[in-house]
Amino acid sequence: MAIEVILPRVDMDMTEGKIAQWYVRNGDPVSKGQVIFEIETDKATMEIEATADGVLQGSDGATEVVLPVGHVVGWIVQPGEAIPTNGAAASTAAPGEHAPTQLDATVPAAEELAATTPKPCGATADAIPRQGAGDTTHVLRATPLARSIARAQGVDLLAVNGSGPAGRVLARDLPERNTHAAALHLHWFNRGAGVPLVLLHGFGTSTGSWRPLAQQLGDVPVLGIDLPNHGKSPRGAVWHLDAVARLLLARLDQEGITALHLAGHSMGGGAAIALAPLLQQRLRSLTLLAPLGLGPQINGAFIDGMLRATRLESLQPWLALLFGDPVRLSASFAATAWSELESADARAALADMAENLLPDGTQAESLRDRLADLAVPVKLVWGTHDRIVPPEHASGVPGAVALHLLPGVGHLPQVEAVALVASLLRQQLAAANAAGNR
Amino acid sequence: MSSEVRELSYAQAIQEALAIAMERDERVFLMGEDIGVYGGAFQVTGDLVQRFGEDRVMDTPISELGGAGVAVGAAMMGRRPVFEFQFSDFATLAMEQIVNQAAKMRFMLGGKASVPLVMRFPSGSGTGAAAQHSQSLEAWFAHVPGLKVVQPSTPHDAKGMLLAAIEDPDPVMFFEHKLLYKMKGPVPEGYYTEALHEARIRREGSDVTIAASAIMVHRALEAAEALAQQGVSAEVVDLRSLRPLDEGTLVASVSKTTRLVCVYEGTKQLGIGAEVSAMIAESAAFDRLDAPIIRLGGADCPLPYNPQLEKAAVPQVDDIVAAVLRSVEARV
Amino acid sequence: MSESRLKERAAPVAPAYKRLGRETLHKALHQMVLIRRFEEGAEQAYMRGLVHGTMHLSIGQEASAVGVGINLRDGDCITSTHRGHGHCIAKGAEPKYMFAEFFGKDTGYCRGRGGSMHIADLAGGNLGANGIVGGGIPIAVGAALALKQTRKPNVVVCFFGDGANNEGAFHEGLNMATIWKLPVVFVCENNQYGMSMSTERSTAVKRIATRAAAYGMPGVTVDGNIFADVSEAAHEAIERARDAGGPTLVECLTYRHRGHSKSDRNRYRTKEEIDSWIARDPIGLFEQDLLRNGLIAQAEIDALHEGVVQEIEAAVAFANDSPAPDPASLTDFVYATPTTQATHVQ
Repeated sequence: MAIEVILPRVDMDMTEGKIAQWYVRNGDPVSKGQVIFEIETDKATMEIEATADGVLQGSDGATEVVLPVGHVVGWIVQPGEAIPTNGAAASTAAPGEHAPTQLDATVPAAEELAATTPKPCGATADAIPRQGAGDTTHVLRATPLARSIARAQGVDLLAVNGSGPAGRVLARDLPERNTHAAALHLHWFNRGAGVPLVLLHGFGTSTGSWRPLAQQLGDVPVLGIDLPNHGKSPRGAVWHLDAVARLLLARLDQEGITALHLAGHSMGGGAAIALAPLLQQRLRSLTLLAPLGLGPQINGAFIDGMLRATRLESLQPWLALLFGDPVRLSASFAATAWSELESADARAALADMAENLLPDGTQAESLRDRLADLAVPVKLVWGTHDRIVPPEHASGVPGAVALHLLPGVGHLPQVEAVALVASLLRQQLAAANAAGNR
Repeated sequence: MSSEVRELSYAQAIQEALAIAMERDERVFLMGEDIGVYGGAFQVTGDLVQRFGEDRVMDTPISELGGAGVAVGAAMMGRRPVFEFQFSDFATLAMEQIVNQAAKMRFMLGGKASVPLVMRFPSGSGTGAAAQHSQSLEAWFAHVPGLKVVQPSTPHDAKGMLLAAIEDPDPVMFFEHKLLYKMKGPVPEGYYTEALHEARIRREGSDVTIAASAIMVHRALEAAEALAQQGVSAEVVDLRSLRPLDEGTLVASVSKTTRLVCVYEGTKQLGIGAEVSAMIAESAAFDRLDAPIIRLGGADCPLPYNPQLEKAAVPQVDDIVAAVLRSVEARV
Repeated sequence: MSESRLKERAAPVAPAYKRLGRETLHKALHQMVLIRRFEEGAEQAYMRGLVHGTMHLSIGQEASAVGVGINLRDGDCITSTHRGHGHCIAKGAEPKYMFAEFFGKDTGYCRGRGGSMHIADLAGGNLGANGIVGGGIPIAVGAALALKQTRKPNVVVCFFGDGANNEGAFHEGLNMATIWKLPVVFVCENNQYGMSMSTERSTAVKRIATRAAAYGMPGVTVDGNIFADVSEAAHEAIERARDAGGPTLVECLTYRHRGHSKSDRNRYRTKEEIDSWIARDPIGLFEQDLLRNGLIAQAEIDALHEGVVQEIEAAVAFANDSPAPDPASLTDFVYATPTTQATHVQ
């Protein structure tokens, strides 16, 4: 069989070379070991020998032409043999080699490898553009913390006088009202190792109302955050659920929470939906109990009635609406609820918040689309007898969201079905653990 | 196995760990210069040779490269050698076997080899041993994938982490600061382990995070006390593990305090604190920083002989206090 | 180079032949031919641009690798060098997994992570080729220490070249092997050149085996191209080690037909020198000797060669058809279990 004469690789990094000189001509006889041409690489020249006895055919005698490694420059044939016309010749001393084109195809060239393999050196974003060296008047100096607080509050940093070196703006330089983010009240029910569960309560109540559920979750680290204008958190104007989310994010940062499971009820649920995308990789699971944010309807009369009550007796009938069966409203529940709403100032702050978030008895914002891209386990829990926020809002959520409809339960699954809700939360913890332990 | 707590020195705690390891696992044996009848240059191995015999407490000739390679070969065959370098500085003679062989065997062989050895390094300055006997080279090793690098700061951790290191299937570089050998602390009796990849919060605080290792942990704690008198609340994080670094603990701490000061004895440039700083700057804690990160590291010179110069060459308590105040008072 | 190495083959049958027997001798020849064709196949693959990096061929040194290796039992170990394909095959490595490793495939001995210089098979007692000259010597001593500690009746053979005999690790390793009386045999394949520096210019002693005396062990020099001579010396050294007699240094005088690596222009040695050694091809010498002693027939030799050609063919095909490693597995195998260290690969 005709034996290929190839341009061989003679250097580790050689991908191409040139024949500098032929020592035989097309048609000449050659013997094994005889030098037939010289190749030139960037390092030096090298003599190449014939690998068999025979006659050199199919060589065009060209020199100084750049050729890739493995390129066929001729054949050594036996008398009477013809050279192949389609490159299907056998190679020389290494049996079993396929024609170069087939072999080349299986091993990517170095360039291809470089293009497809990941870059391990952490080369990421473009360099941050530098400001003009001599231009000190308009240079903004601010610490990352000051910047993130300002961002959350919509404050223009250039308008703030910085007390740091060279006028750098520090967190403490930001106006008082804008730093109350750090003062949201946070309470740990259970501390412990592991990723904590963060609970966000609903409108008109506070973190304390989670106690029965937290007790069912004894060994899990659990903490609750009082929403603005609720419980022990400061009062202030809140325009929308996204603002609540940013305040919560800042408080979680301040507590050093780098990973969490999130659960929210009613308004806390709406805040949780708004907060979830901001948490990115930190969020491990999301559980929503009759949340705001999935539809326009809300029982406005209930909100109004709750906020107008100046004594327990006028609050009670509205509280009864919270339960699937009104008889489940206990005296202690009513007393606790009233204690949160007793203060006129508290009610006024809540009323402002309700006016912004629930104008005219309507849920102002739809956050449905925020559920679409979450990569964590999401559960949606609703009582079929919820008379505050209709369970119909649950329909049409993304397919990956697990829906739990609790028959006969009203607006407070975490009270009326506390054991079940605890077990669903445990499922969330387990699912998140199974999903990613990298 | 009782869990009584008594006080042992750091050196005694290590000896106890070695003895317990050898009692529990016949594959464990010790190698090093003068660790037998001499008891070890820092008297760490003590009388172990009387208890376990010369076959398990092997004196080696002064052949760090060869000895380290013997440890590699024995470990590849399933034994559990603990190799003591007399001074961490002498690791330089064995770098070939540590970096090219021990660190890379598992990877180069596609996961089919294991090198479960421990190498112990008395390191650091303060004893007047001068330039070639006082270095802190742990950053060199923390730069090498395939090695684990730890630096316990207390007798309790020294014992627990050494027992864990001996059981670990990967090569562990165990750094012991010489000035800690005589430090006493509570050490439980019997067998226990400490995780090799976790930092510890030694003191909680809210104004600044001080990240430190080995003897610097103790200087940081002293500084924190002094700072408390001035109304500054410092959180001290004992790194314990340099490779891997406990990113979670560091990020959570700095996110909470918003300021970071790194204190380490190795040369400042390209030392452990440089990595901690960069890690924080790349993390979610970046947006929580309210001051530039400060690194306090070894001076840019070999360790000098003169005692005042020797002290001046590495961070001291006063340096830590001053750096924290600069950070907290926004003078940096 | 002095040419007095060419020994007259007298009439008596070599003791090695008697000891090993016909079947084992055929196995030895098969291994030597397999190594030769394997190296040539690897060379071809390299020249066609299929092998990333370079390779260090041991063509011409087959008698040294197999002459030693044929004496090893199950449980015996070897350490090898950057020029270790022959040692690996002599210790039972399969060409298909070696080719797969050269092609960087996931089915290679090292799952594509190690390449030519790090072929290993721990289960089979091959502690690995090594990219550092002298790197394997202390490791071999350590392995021998482990064998002694576990009271195994096994030995470690430590292959290295003339270049290694000037490394500190050589001197430290041999010293420790003797003071602890370890079951290790040091086999120096003296192919006359480190990379480009001849042993005449690099080494203070004429015969490397004489360095054994400095470390209190026996040393012997043999013609590394005569299978029987290598095998006999290796057998004696291996059994000495197995019987707790301590280490030996065996020096095999041999030659590599090819340059140090594929970039070597052979400027440091003459064509005449290379040709004179090619004329003493160890495979040819072995075949002739076996024929002369009636221990093999020409037809058997031909069939053996033919079979090896097919073995190599199949091995290359296997390697070609094998998958490459998944880039997502880049940082696998660094530790026994993934650590919490940030990978910085975002």
